Amino acid sequence: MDTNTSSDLFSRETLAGYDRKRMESAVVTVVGLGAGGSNAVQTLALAGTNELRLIDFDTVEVSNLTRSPLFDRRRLAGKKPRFKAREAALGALVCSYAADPTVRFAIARFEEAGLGALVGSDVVIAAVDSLRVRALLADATRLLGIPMVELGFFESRGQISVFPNSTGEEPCWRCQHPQVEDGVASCTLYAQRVAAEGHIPATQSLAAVFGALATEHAIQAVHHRFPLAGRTFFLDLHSGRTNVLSLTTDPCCPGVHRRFGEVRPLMVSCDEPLRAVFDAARPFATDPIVHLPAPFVVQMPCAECGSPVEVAKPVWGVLQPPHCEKCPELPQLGERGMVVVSTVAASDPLAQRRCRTLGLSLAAILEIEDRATGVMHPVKLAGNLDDLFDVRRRGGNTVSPNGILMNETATPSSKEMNP
Amino acid sequence: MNAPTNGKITAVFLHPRDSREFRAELGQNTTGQQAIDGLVKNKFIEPPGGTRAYALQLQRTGATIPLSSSLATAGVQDGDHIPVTETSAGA
Repeated sequence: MDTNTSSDLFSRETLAGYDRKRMESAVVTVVGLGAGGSNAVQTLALAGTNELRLIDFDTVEVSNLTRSPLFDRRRLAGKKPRFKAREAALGALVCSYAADPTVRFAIARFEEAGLGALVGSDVVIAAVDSLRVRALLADATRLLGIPMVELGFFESRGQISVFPNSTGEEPCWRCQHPQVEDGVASCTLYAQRVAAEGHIPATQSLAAVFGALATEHAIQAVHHRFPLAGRTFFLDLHSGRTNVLSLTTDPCCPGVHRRFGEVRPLMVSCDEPLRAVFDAARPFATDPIVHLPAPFVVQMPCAECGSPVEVAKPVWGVLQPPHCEKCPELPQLGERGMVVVSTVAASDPLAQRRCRTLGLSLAAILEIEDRATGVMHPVKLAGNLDDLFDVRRRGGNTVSPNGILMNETATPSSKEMNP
Repeated sequence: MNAPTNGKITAVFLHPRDSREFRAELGQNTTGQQAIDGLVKNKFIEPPGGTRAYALQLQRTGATIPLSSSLATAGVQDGDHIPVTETSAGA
């Protein structure tokens, strides 16, 4: 049996309408490598997807193993933490049937990696376990004009939605959920809410079904086909109940209903002060103001006494409730009294801060508004995909011909993205 | 469908997980969000949160009712059935 003859290998998929040429150049990004995301990645790898980009900051827990087929239990036996993105990437490389697969992974929150991580993707699968981050992904993919497939599940039910993002007028994910808060909250706060609502069980079968559904619609998107465009499909595995919801554009949607124009590359490093961005923008923006991709938290009240505490971090970097020097730490986090900045003018003291400390990573994409004309100019800081992702390709020393992982260490990603 | 009387419409909300129904008489200017808030207040559905969000569907058309729009603007008529859909962020 010749497993290397591509025409035989994918004969069934070809009959089903998959175009090998498209799959051999396809780039699919998966954000969130839990049970749903890793099942989707496995199926994408088996389908011969050329390039996978995987983004997740979390570590693998024992309870993940039974629902995540890509995580190799032998590699998880040690005491060192293993990151979901890395483990999923290595597993995908082992099972991929692409001729020359590339798997990139970033051990980071999506907010850290930024919009630059999505550029060049044919489709993005949102499999992250936070409605807030789904809202951010919905805006990011809309701005970049990249289709998004969303999946989620709970108990015996789940849903997937498809957003082609080909025009700004289409209904977006946030049209359906305008009440989802748009960013001024921390992961800690989110975690507290999840805990308060109870654990979310996700069984193997649920993850496999919804991972497969998301994969199929991602592959359809690679072929520029959107049979579920602008709709949400609900399925209850136990009762067999289904429902298809046709999404409607909400005239008061808080989300983004426009697309970027040309993204200008700026020769500004994220290690330079933000004022360098203003200098670089002078040729095309006479009165520039920078719109930060994520709100910047200047200060927050002490969790106990309420006195102001300097924070100076992007909102996604606020992982612990702040305390003033006089108060002991308490596991509470409030949002009242937060001083948050979303735009920065050249005269603002924040313009003297390094871009990285403001949440702008390598290859970050942000918008500069020319207040003189009201025109928004999307720009990209210096950097490329290799700055954002670790990359693994077959043929190196990572995967042997028989699929056994070789020479892989447990060290965290070398990509430094924390401000 | 029946024409609305005295500025009120009666809508039947369907539970996202089971066969329960909630019949409510609503003003035509009631928004989708206000309707959801009322369903939560009456303990028909659990409060939305970090892992759970709701949408309303007009069963007659299959389309969502924008939460910022009034039910009348969204085309809800007296006697309409409105499934409440639940989106989960579990993944």
